[in-house]
Amino acid sequence: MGEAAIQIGPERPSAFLDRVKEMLPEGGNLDLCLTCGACASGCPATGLHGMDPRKFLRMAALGLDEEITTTPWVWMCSMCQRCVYVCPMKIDIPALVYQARAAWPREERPKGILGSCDMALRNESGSAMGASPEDFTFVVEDVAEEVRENQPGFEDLQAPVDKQGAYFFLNQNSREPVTEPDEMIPLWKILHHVGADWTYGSKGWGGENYCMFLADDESWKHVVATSIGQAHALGCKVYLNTE
Amino acid sequence: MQTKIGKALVIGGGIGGIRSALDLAEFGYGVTLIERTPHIGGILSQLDYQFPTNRCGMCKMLPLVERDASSQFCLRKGLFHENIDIRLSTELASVEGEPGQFKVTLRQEKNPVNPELCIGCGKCVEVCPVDTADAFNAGLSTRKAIYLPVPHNIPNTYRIDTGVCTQCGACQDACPTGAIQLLDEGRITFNILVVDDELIVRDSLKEWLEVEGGFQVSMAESGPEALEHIKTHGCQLMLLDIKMPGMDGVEVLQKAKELFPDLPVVMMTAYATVETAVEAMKIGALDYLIKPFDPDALIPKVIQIYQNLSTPVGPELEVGAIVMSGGTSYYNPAEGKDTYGYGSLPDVVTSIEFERLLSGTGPSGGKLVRPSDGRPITRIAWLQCIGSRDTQSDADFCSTICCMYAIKEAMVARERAARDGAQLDTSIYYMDMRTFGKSFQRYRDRSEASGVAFKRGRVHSVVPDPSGEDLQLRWVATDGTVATDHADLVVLSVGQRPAEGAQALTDMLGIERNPWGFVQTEAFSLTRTARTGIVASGAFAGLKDISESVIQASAAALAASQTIHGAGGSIGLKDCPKTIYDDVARQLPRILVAICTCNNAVTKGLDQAALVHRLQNDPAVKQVHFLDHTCTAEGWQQLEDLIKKHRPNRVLIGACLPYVYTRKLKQLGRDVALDPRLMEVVDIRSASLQPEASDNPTAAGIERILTMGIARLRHASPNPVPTVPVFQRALVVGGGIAGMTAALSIADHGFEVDLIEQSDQLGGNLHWLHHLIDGQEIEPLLTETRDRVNHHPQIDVHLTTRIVAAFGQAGTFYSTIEDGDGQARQLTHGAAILATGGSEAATTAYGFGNSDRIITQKMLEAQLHDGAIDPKALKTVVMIQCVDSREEPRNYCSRVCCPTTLKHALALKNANPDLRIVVFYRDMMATGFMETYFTQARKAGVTFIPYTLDGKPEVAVGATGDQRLMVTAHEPFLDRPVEISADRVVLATGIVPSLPQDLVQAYGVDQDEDAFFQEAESKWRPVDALKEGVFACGICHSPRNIGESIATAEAAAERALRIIASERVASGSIIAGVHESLCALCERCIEACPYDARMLDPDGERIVVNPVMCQGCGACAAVCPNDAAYVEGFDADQVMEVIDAALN
Repeated sequence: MGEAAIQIGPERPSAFLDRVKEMLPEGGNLDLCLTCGACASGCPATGLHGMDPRKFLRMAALGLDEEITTTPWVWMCSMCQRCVYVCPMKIDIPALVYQARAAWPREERPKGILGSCDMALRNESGSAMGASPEDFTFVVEDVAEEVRENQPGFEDLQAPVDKQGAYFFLNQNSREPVTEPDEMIPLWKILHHVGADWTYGSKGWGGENYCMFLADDESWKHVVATSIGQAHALGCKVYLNTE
Repeated sequence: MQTKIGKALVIGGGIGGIRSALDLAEFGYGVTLIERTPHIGGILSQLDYQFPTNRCGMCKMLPLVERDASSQFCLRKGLFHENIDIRLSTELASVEGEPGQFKVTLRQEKNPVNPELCIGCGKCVEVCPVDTADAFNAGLSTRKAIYLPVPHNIPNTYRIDTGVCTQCGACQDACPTGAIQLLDEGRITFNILVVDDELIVRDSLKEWLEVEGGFQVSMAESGPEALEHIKTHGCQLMLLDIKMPGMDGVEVLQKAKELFPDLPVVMMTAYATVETAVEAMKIGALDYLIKPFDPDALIPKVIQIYQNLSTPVGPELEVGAIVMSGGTSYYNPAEGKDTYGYGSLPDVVTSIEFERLLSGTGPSGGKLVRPSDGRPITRIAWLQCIGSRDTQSDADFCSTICCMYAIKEAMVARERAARDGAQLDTSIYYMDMRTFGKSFQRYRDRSEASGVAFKRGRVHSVVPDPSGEDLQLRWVATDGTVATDHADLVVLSVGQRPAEGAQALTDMLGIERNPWGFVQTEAFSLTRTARTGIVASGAFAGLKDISESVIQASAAALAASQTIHGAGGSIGLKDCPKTIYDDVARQLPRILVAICTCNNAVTKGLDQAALVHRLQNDPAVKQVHFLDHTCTAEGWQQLEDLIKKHRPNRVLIGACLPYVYTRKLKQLGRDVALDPRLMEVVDIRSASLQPEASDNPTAAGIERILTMGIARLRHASPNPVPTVPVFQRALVVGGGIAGMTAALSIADHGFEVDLIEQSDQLGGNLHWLHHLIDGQEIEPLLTETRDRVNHHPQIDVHLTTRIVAAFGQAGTFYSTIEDGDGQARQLTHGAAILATGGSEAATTAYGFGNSDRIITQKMLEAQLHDGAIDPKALKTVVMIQCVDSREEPRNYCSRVCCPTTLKHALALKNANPDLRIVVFYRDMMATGFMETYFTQARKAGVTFIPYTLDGKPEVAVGATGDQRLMVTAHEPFLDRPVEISADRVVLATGIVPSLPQDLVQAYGVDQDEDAFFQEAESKWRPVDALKEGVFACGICHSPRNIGESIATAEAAAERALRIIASERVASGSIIAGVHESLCALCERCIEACPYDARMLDPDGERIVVNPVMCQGCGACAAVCPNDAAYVEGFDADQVMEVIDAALN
């Protein structure tokens, strides 16, 4: 204890929870909490900053808006949805966390996420590591060529970029092409083995989307739109999200 | 003893069905009790221990009067009652007609084992090569294809699970009595048409069904080909694929049904098109099978369909009413998201599996060992609300009983461990512990004191401990502390689901279901459906504990009985046999001994002449005869002829399965005019099968059994069974809804009722209650019921009247009443029902009395109704639950307060959505389908904050002069104080009974420690007083809502009707008596009698026994220092002689 008492009534309490409810189907079931704690017991962020998903929802329900829109805990949530998965009332706690993030001034949001989002906005790759379309294309072609030359049985392996009319459009986490290019190969081999007709896009290839984690809706939308746009432009039928 | 022409059908042989059937049978109706499994007892046959006694006690449901009409042994083992025709493995095939005269047909599953020939020796099991999961042990062990459905049936006949039987014939060869006829000729000619466009599907189905199923299979690769096939060759069953090129399965189904409307068709579907298959069932498909097929599941299913189609329905029965008592089914945790690893972690079990682990007949013989490796269990965790209170498994309901059974399982497990000197940790992880019955909270407290840990929280997932030694559960305490607990057994407290077959049954009967698939009953009734004469009993309309199931079952019997009576079913049976037995009281015993040779199987190698000679050494034995088959009609006729010829006054029959003969002996008694109590069947068959140490084993064993029987018979009392006269009239004390309902229920059967009410009007608490939580208006119920009571020709209403004295016993009570003018008069009646009600408890807690803004829920009800409160003018309302309740001295839950709070919170929110409502609670008791209103209340924005006894909220009347109330409390999840400025504080104070002690004493019944009526047995005789003839209902019995009160009233009325139904009521043949010459009038026997059957007759200065109330338990005989108290059939000479014979 020791913290200030929670005040209830007579004036109508805050609207943060209500605002979030309005945005979600079924109000995200945010009112239905049975306070059973299943969410908290499964959450990897439970206990950090003295917070857990149940406390967070409870604070929102009791109108402690100031606290939930300022706690840094919201940045520790990995949006994994383990809490929703087991919740007997299927309460969308991550959506509430997301809106709490969005309440932060953009410049005050965690530097790592913020920087990664800004990086993705730098060019048309959508890569959080800032790799350009040209760099990506070069790395992919280089690695594929190496496989064809050195690995028996994969002389025909293809890792196309911007192949018009491919059936599948694949995205790719930037970490591999930038730091561990060989890690891309196993997936290529699988696709090769099953005979999939696929392609990367030179634009919008970056699979990670830190703007989503940043709760920067506009930028999130921009990154997604770039990638989807490229898939459309190439005439692909199926978007395979590898993230 | 069926004495009335009325008949009833009871569907389901669990305890609900048994209770309904017994009630109707005891009233004199003929009952057909059908049960789809091969045994009675339902789920209770798997459960050995019930709280609060942690024992069984089912036998307490057996008749207490006219006891000889029924078996009087362990009810779990079986039931025989003269008026009940029990048909096992039987389902309802069709129903037509109207209330009062339904015409029904039944279908009884064929079984290759003939129950009349099976002697239960088990030789078949030794040779059966098939192993399959044993459903009796919830799949924790295996059994053979030929098996005993339950270990304890009497008679216990083996059965063959035809779904898994390979028809190898080994059992048939091993059976010593030729009881098994395996070959099912029908299957070879049963033609199944498999329609599928994929060759591999057709081929594999053909092979499975022909080789393993023994059927004849044809194939078609397209719809048109299939239609052509059935036109030219016909078929008896079509297995039809849904997704085929060209004509799809649904179209084929339509066309085939046009050609042959009765053709049975089973759809075959991939998972993605299950919905289409369900649609197909609406246009006539019988069922569907999901691809890919598992032959182990597919073949039994097809065999089941074949058996249903090929089993002829029985002859049409006419019944006046139908009681549905199909029980419930249970959630299968493997079906859901299953983060607890059920099905993959062997030490994660369901509650039913755990009951089997506890059971002496379970897979481990009752040893607490882990299913995975047989190591002793040291830590058990119960997880509550699995498949309940969980919208993710479509369960916006509470399953009502899981909290209590989890506590019971923990208690029994601890007792078991203590007995074995082992250490056992027990933890229950819960959301709300719903201890809502009147004794439940104390039971919980007791368990907590004994070491059961209650942990409020839902576990996210169960994973194996990294060491692999046990299981790991991570949970978060209320204050946010994260803990990782370990357990070596996790028990999932699984919730209710509609019973298997409930949908088909309700469809056939035209009965509505609620959103979760359970029977929908009428407003204010737990039993009546929209169709008169079709009622729900036991747990069929939603899971209930034993006590409530039994109440519901008696209430259902009452409702059924009203319909039957209304259709003339109470008219006396014309050919009702008036039996006059020969008076043999003054004759010396002359015993005829008949020995069944069982076609020489029993007596093989026996020196018959020597046996006869030795038996006839006893001068009482006049004749000894050998018969080939007493179980056949011819054999029985021979016996009857012998008796008629020799006129013995005792008959001993040495045969097998004595229980089978109960009914036959009664008929024989009528035919030969000899009281069946002077005839006895003893089991010599088992003796003939048991190896013994002597030279001629069989002979010694058989002779011993026979001489024991002779000893018993020689001393059997030849006196007729006593009866007592009955005043066929009832008295009901209390004119609230329960009393009025009880009075009407009895009066509707044509018996007179005196209804005594101390106030000047009928209606009781209904006067201040206005709506149910579902919006149902209460006033019409009050008006209608009161009008019916006032105008009922059979009901005498006595207002402003009270009982001043009463005495008497079942059949005859004398009650003195005094009216408002002080005029006293005496009423005579055969049974009494106490319905004196109760009221909202008074309180001084939370500042009640200091402000007119601190009110009770009852006051809120009134103020909402009369407009004294305008919800729109309020901003914040605080409600506090469990005021003075669930803690000593009033340590019980009043059960109605949480629903009332939800009702009022929803009403206020409805009128003013901006109103802030905070409910302080300990455990929200929204049991059963009430849970959905708890969900609605949260959805409406009501805030619920739990508190504990050491942290109750505090209410202060505003110092600021604005009269606002300040409520301070502790928010436990955030561990912070909370301060609420409230316009109103509403207290839920609960119910206190109004059951005056002098009234209770007048009728010789007891109160519990909270002054509620004390039941004879809370589970098995829930509305009876221990003293037969006195019953209670409504809220003087226990806290309950209107519908539940009505159910107790109907149940009490049904129980009373059993007694006043006849002019005289007979005792059982085993009753106590007094040798007056030996009696010293010490009265110890009166104290010892648990049934109040003994009293001192002051005039004669002697001890008298009421033969109807006496249950023959023998407590009196055990305490009597002079052997003056004795029990008929167990007197000392007799017992000693039987023991001598046994040791000989």
